[in-house]
Amino acid sequence: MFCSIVPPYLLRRLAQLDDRSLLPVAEAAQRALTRDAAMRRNRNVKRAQMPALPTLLPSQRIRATGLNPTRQINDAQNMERLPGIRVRSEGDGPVEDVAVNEAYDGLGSTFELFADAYQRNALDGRGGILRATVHYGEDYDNAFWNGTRMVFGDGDGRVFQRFTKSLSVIGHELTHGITQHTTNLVYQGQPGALNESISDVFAALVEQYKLGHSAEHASWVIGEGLFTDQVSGDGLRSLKAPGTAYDDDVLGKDPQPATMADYIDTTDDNGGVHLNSGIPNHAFYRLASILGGNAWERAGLIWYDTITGTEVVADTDFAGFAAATESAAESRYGKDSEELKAVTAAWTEVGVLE
Amino acid sequence: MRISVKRTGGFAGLTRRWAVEVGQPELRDEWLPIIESCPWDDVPQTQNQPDRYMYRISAGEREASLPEQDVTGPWRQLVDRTLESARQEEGRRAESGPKGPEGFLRDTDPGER
Ligand SMILES: [Zn+2]
Repeated sequence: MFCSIVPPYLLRRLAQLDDRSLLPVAEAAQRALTRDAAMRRNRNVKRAQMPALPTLLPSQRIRATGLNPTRQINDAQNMERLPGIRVRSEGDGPVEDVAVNEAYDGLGSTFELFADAYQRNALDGRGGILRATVHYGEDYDNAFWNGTRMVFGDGDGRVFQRFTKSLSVIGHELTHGITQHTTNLVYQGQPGALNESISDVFAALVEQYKLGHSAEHASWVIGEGLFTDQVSGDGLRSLKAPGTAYDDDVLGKDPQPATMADYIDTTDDNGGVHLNSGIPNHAFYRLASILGGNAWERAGLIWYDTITGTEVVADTDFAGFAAATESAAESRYGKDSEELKAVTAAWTEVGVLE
Repeated sequence: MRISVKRTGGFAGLTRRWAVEVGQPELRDEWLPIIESCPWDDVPQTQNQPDRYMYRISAGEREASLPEQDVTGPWRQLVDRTLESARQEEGRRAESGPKGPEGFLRDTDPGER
């Protein structure tokens, strides 16, 4: 009997793991602190200079129109049974369990982005209940969307911490719910990678909106804070620089491609949906970066118009999605607009358009 | 017989592999009853739920791919047994070799019941 997962070199590395320097994490934290401080200094000035967008309503007015979330958080009690028992409902105060509160607050932040920036009332657009289950399974290193609710594992404590710890994970899973109610892209191959990318894009925007980070100041990393301090990595994926989110002795290097030249043909992971999503992810980052300012505004609105329009269907591929974003940009901003030019440029840079 | 489990996907998109080489009489007595009761030629073509794992399971010449939520019944038994045997082997290696932090590579059980 043998075990292919733990070759001797790996065991040797594992043995050294506990002694590994915590430096990378400390540095990442320091970078984040510096960013935030700079952001706080600039924010008031930038907000004052920003032209008001007619499509964006300030939060107070949204709240006044009555768009408010209805959240339900359940606890699977470390079993693999769903939905688990209800532990917090809308309007209830915080409980002792930090995972429950993180899920509750994260659902709220995600609801807020879609309500404030795109006037969307929850996942179904009709104020449907936002459901989450925490403490799924034992040491479960994952979070998923099961068609009805988002489900979070506690992590194994060695590589991953609890999955509610990162707001972008919550935003990502809830966006799968929105995709289910809109494009319903199949979870396979290029449509599957688009499905994944849409979740990453809005996950990043949920965080940026909450933190008040512009495209320039945002980290663009998905899953920040998920890794324990024994892993060398900022997070799981980077929209800004796919393939650079982590580089670790044990986990290896982030394998995401940024352009079509590095597209990965595989049957694993439903045709590499978590790998090739790097390409549309990077196209969105490039668009946001060319336009500048807050990514949830023009870039996010073009993406939102695209997924709620009629051009993208269940089996749309990268090229079809790119064309749909061009149509969305043209209808909202006009055919000679800088927005449309930026969309075309972004998809050209990643090799989806020629 | 070589029995292996490859798990891909999940939110993190990280691939994990486990494999065991099983000889007689253990194969005949403990493994084959499970292997024979898996419907290798009748795997449902279910679309995976977003961010759930994909499993590729093989036993000798037989191979099947199925999403996490379909890893139930004998499939689940086979996967659990393979992971468990691989872990035991890992434990023995760790004891005889340099001491590694136990549980680092230990995996969670797949499948929603
Ligand atoms: Zn996903």
